[in-house]
Amino acid sequence: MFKGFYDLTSGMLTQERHLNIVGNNLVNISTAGFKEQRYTATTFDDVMYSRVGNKRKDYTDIGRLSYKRVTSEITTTFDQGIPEPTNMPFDFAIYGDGFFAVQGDDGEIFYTRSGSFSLDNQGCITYPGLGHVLSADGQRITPKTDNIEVDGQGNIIDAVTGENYGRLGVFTFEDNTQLERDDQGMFTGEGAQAVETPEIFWKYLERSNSDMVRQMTELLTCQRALQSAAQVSKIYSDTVDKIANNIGSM
Amino acid sequence: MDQAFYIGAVGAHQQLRHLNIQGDNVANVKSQGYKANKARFINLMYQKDSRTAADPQDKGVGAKVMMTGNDFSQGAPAESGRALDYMIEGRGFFAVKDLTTGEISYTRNGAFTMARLMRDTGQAGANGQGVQEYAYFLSDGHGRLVLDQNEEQIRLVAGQMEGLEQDEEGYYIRDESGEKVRYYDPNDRSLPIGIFDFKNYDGMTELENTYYKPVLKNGDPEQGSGTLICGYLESSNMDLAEALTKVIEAQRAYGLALKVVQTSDEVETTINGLRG
Repeated sequence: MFKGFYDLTSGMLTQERHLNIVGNNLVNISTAGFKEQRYTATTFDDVMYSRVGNKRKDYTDIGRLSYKRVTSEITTTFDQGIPEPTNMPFDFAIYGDGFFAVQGDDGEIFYTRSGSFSLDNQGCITYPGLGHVLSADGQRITPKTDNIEVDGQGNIIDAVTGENYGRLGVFTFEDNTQLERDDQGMFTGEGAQAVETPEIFWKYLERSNSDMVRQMTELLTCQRALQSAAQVSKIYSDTVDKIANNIGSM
Repeated sequence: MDQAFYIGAVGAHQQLRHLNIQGDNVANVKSQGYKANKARFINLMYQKDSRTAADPQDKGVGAKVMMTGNDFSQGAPAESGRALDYMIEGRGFFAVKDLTTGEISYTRNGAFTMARLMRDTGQAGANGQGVQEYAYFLSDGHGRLVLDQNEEQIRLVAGQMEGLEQDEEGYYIRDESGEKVRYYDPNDRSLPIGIFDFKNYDGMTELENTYYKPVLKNGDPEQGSGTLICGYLESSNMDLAEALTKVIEAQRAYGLALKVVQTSDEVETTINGLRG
């Protein structure tokens, strides 16, 4: 009975989830290294719609029907964001594929495109609040000073003594779509490979790759789709109302 | 439920903070020794959306300002011609000491003045009380005294000073034990102002009036490599074009975030209108 209700409700619910994703993309326009997410919905497997009579039991198929619309995937787009100059000595942007590696206090390694780093009390380059940034050979980088020069490959060189403190590690994965995001928005995954000759912009940050036009359009689309579903379910409700209250009196 | 509403609201709030930071930058376009502030954004918590078809999917719930940092790059020199105006070319800070708290803070703003303080002469007056006299020190104009490289205050010659003598190194007055106490002529444009530097500037605490206080990771102050120039002031290193671009960006982002709020609200209205 009243299968349409459930179908329409699932439509409204998925549009609302879509709205959350789009909203998140929109507010992260200023977040360095942010990668926008895309939402795709799917239907439950279709079921056959059969004619069932009181006496005839031959179940003739008369059509197909799906009962529910659900989230199928939330994917991340790894397109390049625009590098923006910041003039800060511990800001880095990766041009091309790859991630900075950050090792948390418990040894777990996170990957991020956000190269907004800082020095900790020991003088190591850190991602604030998370852990140490790793060099290409997986070590901490300890310049102890911010009077540094950085070349295009991410070699961190003391501007005074010329000492090379190490090369910023840039790691790639076979398949970026297999990466998972943790609760901090950092990526985690297996099988990271250090890039031999990465392209690093020093004193730059990669901007969010959120496409405003697309996000705004999607925001409107899902709002209207949701309202349409709501409208139809109102009509459906009116129809059911007629069935329940008026048929008997006809 | 209705997460988009809060995502948008938090996003708008954070963009407002961004606007505050940039507004501060723009307002300080003429402040000597001002170092531009930059905001860093981070995405808020990601959580699993467990209501999905197959695997739980990760979805984000907003953005926030993670930290702000100062851009300590050199500002352009601006000639003032005043004898007590100094600027540092290169790395380093002036150190000023607040005599009441004993706290030393650091600044790039070298617009100094002469401050008059009461000083104990060490002699006893007629009724047995200590005699005090006025003494002049190099000050920042906010009640703090400028320090030399040995973290001592800089005494200045002013008017008629009793017992002022001169040798090849400059002026001095002998104190009661006969030690030479150095005095400097405020007009000779070569006051021994100390330049202090830190291993790194990252995370220095910003106080009021372009003053900074080092934190643990900045290390101990050491002698700065910068050179002192008299008659010049360091202008703000804030790039007006960049700051205004950021203001526009923050304004637009604020509007976008509020659009999310509005959309979410309209959706809510639709849902509420379902039961007519």
